[in-house]
Amino acid sequence: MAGSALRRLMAEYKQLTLNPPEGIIAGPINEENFFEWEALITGPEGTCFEGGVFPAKLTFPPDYPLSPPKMQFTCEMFHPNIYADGKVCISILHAPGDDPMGYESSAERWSPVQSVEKILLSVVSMLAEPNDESGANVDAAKMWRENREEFNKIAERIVRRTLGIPT
Amino acid sequence: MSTIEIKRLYSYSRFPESPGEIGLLLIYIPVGVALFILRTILALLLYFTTFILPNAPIFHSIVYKLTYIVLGIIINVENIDKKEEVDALISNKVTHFDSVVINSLAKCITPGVQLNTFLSSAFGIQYFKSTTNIEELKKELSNIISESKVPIYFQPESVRTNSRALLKFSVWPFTICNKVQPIAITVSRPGLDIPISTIDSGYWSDLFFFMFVPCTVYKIKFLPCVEKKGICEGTFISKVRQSIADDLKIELCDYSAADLKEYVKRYLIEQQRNVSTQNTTTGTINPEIHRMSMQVREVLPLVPYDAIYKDLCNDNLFTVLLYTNTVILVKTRSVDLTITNILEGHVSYLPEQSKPSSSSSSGSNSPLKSTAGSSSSSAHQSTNTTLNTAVPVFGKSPQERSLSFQERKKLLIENSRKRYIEKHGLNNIIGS
Repeated sequence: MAGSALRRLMAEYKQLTLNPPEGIIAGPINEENFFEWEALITGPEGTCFEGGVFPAKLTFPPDYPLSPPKMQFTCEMFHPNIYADGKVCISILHAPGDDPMGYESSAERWSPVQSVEKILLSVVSMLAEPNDESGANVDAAKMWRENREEFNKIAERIVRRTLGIPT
Repeated sequence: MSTIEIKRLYSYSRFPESPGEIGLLLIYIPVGVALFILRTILALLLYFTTFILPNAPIFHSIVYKLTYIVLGIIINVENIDKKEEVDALISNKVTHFDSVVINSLAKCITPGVQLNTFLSSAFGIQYFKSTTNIEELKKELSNIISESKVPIYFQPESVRTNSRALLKFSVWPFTICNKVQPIAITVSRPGLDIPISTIDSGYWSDLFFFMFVPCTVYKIKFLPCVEKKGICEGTFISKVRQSIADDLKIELCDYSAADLKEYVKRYLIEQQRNVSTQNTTTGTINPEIHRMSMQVREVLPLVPYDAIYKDLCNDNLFTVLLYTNTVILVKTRSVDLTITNILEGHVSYLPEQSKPSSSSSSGSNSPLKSTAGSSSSSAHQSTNTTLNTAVPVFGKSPQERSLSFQERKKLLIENSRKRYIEKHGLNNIIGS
């Protein structure tokens, strides 16, 4: 079924090129390997990540879209739902059944009806509203809860770094 | 107890599957039709003669002989000497005509058989007023048992199967009799092995095949009598059941008539649903294409089954022309081709579930497109520098696309940077 995975990825790439959500870009890093994508996500307005452009890597399984892709930020990130190595922990990237945290509703899980675009939009809203119960980054979660000012400062620094603006 | 599956208790098709047998059937069809017509004429003659025949044993035997010719029934009886005077005859249930055959061998009363008065007098069948109230029926039957010497014929399986296993017996017939004679019935059709009945066949189609095939052989075997004396009802029933099953060399199974009726009901509903959902131009469903449709649906769950099936049919024609020799290629190409056709919008369909988020997707028929319009809320546009990265064309070559991708990335970062600097008034600090 790798052939159908390729075709579907190609269709999604075309869709995301011709009609992308604002502030989002995604596509294969190199078309020789269609299963490795790069994405840029803009931090949503009115949040501490506002204005930042965050690069991430998407890795698709050969049986996509039956299984979800993996997503990992390639820039420095400080967020309750993003591991220190940049891996994103969000329910849409988990197939129903494997629930590492045990409290995600299956409605927002991965299924072939979802798409790269939906994943990226979910990540945008995750940036805006962290889920401080699923502690991929415990320090970030704790700071988000207890010391929002400090958290905002760190976020600001990361945003500036992604834009190449000295802090 | 046997672990036979319920679905194996039925035949599903009258017709054989092996090419040799199909060939034989095709050759036989003209003969079978001629035989059927002759037998029908004889049956009509016989039917009208019964109106004038007197109710006398000598005529009964003639009528039976003629009936057997009409139905192509040949009877082999074994152990007729075991026949005794009993309250009831108990047998397994195989065909619609079991009771007629048994009645010709051993005069008996069959509850539930309804023939018109002429026919029953011609056959010498004692007409029995059938009633829906089981208690009333039991009372009447016990009266008959106590008054007359004629046994009552029961088929406690209640429903017909393909005789692979013996169903659970219904209990009530055994409550009213003390001594029963088990009878094992085996039916076969030598030469042309067409099943007696199928899961959805009715009386008239079963009758047609009786008159179509060369002959139907009944092997009737009278088994030693079983008496209730001193044993409880349960043991009594299982003794009778075991002796029939042993003789037929089939297993006892745990299903009752009600289980089988439920299964048939569900099977027929399923059949009906399949026909209605898969009502394509070809009429019948190709299981291979059905499997492929399911594969496509795994990838594109919003596309209706019909649309996929139709496209796969078209694909098949196309690819078979290209790759007449290689079936594998036909199969794999079709699934991919159909997915491409659907994704590229060559297949028109209505997405199966309407999503609340699809606001501006009128006219688009790709499931991916339908969500594209809903995303602008997440990133609001406030200045002139746009963060919209859309391009009017999707490059034809990988190089073109890659270049465009890199450019758009650069543009997005640049624009975001400009916007950030503007917003935070950092112009003088950084410069440009």
